[in-house]
Amino acid sequence: MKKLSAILIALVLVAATAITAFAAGINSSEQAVLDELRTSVNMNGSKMVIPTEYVNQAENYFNTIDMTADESSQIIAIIKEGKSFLENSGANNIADLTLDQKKELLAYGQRVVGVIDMTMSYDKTTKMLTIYAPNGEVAFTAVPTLTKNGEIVNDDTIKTTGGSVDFRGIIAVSSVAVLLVAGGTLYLVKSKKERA
Amino acid sequence: MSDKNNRHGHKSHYGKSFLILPIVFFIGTYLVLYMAFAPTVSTFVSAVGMFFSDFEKNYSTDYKNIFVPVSEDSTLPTVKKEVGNTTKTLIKIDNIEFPNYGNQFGQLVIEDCGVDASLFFGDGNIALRNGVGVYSGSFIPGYGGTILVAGHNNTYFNGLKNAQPGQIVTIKTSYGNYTYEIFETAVKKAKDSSAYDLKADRENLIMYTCYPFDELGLTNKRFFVYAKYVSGTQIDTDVKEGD
Amino acid sequence: MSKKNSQNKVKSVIYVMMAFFMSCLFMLLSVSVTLQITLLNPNFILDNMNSTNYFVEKRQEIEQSLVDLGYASGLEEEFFENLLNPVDMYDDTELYFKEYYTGKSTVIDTTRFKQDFNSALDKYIEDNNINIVSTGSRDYLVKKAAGIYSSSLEIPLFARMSTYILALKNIMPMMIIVFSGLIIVLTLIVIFTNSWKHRALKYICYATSGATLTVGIIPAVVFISGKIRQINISSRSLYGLFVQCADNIFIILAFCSVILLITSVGLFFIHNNMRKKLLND
Repeated sequence: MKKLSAILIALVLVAATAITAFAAGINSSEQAVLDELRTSVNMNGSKMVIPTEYVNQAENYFNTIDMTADESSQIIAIIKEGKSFLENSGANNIADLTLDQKKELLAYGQRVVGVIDMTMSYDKTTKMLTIYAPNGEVAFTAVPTLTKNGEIVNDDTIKTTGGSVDFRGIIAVSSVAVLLVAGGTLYLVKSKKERA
Repeated sequence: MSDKNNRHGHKSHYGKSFLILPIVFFIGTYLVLYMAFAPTVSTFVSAVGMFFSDFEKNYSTDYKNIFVPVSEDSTLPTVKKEVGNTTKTLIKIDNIEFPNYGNQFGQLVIEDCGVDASLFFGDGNIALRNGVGVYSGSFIPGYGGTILVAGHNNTYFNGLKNAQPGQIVTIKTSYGNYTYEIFETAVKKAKDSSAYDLKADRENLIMYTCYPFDELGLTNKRFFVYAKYVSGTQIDTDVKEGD
Repeated sequence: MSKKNSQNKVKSVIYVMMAFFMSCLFMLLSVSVTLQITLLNPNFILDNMNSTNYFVEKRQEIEQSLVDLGYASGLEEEFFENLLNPVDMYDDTELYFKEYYTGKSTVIDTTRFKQDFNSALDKYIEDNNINIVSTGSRDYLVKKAAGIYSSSLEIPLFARMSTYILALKNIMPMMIIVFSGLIIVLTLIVIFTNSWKHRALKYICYATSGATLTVGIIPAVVFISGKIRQINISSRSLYGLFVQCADNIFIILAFCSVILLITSVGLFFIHNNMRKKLLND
């Protein structure tokens, strides 16, 4: 009976909010995540930051959803763990991580996958990584590239048609996954099943 | 007889081993395989798992159009706020349908250049085939940041070749109409990150397309048109209270 | 008597362990044979391309990507209408697989495409009296178009996995022989060390039954969950190819499981008949 009541209440709330305003706007929980994403990671004296365009994409996406304080704190905890891992790795930059460290970096991304139900696709022709919300909407696009000095840059801010960039290895994807996805830059609403 | 029964298995217990042992073997085989191969393939397997969703992918090239032109005398709910030394009227963000990636959400017009294109959020192939697109790492009109718009030089942004300082750009959206004044044009390389500032804290419009115009061939150069904000009700982007 | 009982129990345990190893070997053999017929067979993917609409859809996708490129480079849509030839695409793809599986190359050869593209460009320029900016910009355009062509036809991740696939291709026949040999050896040991032949069949039946479950669970889970069809692949043609190939691989695995099941059932009945005969004698 308890479960059924919860479902009924959820249905009522959904119906009630359906006719009211959109979810646009950044709430304090989302702002906290954005602030955390904008802080740098110190790797052996070098400051690594997430490209501005990625954080902007997160902000744009947050304008279409409403994140709770609980969800925000979970995501921030993962971001902090990921940053702490990078800072204590002993590497000068992401390219210098050992194979085991790279696997661990990817594992952070997978933790977030488990939490926030996202999926990805990669287009070989355009070298574009796309991340989807559970409802199929595109939440994030990027052509992440690892530069020679280990920085991550987005290589498709200015378009051509048909793609023009090199994609340097799974490391770039993993590190974007940790610093961006693992950091909860794109928060995707949990499935109804988990909320009910 | 009873001795033979004892030796060849009592009937009541006999058949069970044909069910139980295969199941035990099944579990045991996967345990052995897991112990042997998990360290090698687990990372790959769980990475691959991120590429599977809960439904089949939609390959439709249709796009959602959320653009409803705003009439001149219509008003959206606004709020008055102190910004510096002045009081500004801002659109309540709750009353805006924020576009998702791939949505058409407006119209971009430069009368002097003959540019009149549907405006999309996101600059993917579908958007650029049907109009011009705002890069999703920049912002929408009225948000107070950089609006970086891409378009093909052979189609919707062909008119940019006639862009001159002083010309007016109008962007119409469902939540308001915005005007910008062109102040500069420049030819720069596509990878020149100084061509745009996505961290800018004041509203500005940058349109770009491939360069040169009307000539066959491809280069790594882009034609940038820079415009400053002139008019249009800004959106209240202050942080809302969380849940 | 108790010593004999304990000896019998130890023997039973040993036979069960042998049956377990045989079960594992049957499973590995099934997977090896499946791989040998499918992914390690140069013609497998090409045959699946032919049986789906792969080249038709791929042609449309490449053409659309090239049209988008044309929007940025002064080429009208009509230029690309007859540029791509499905026969040439098939030939390029066939050569790609041939060279991939012999370790020669992991990329599509774009020589012919560039020649066709340049010829079409020359004709287009002449027919329309078009200005070219420079040879450099024309070459860059051709290079970009060839890049689209090759990256569209190449199979994703194949290049990265080429070392592993080639190594597996080389050792797989040996592995199949080794697994088969070990199964035969274990079968002979079980049969000839067991004075009661129906018991020997019982242990072999345990092995094949266990392998039936182990092998059969994979296609069962995959087909029931429908997960194959939920993969995020940007290219529609590649998606169709992936689903077709994956379905065929799991169908073959299911077929192996059915063969093991039939063997198990047959062994069970033979064992039962032999046992009843012994009990009646």
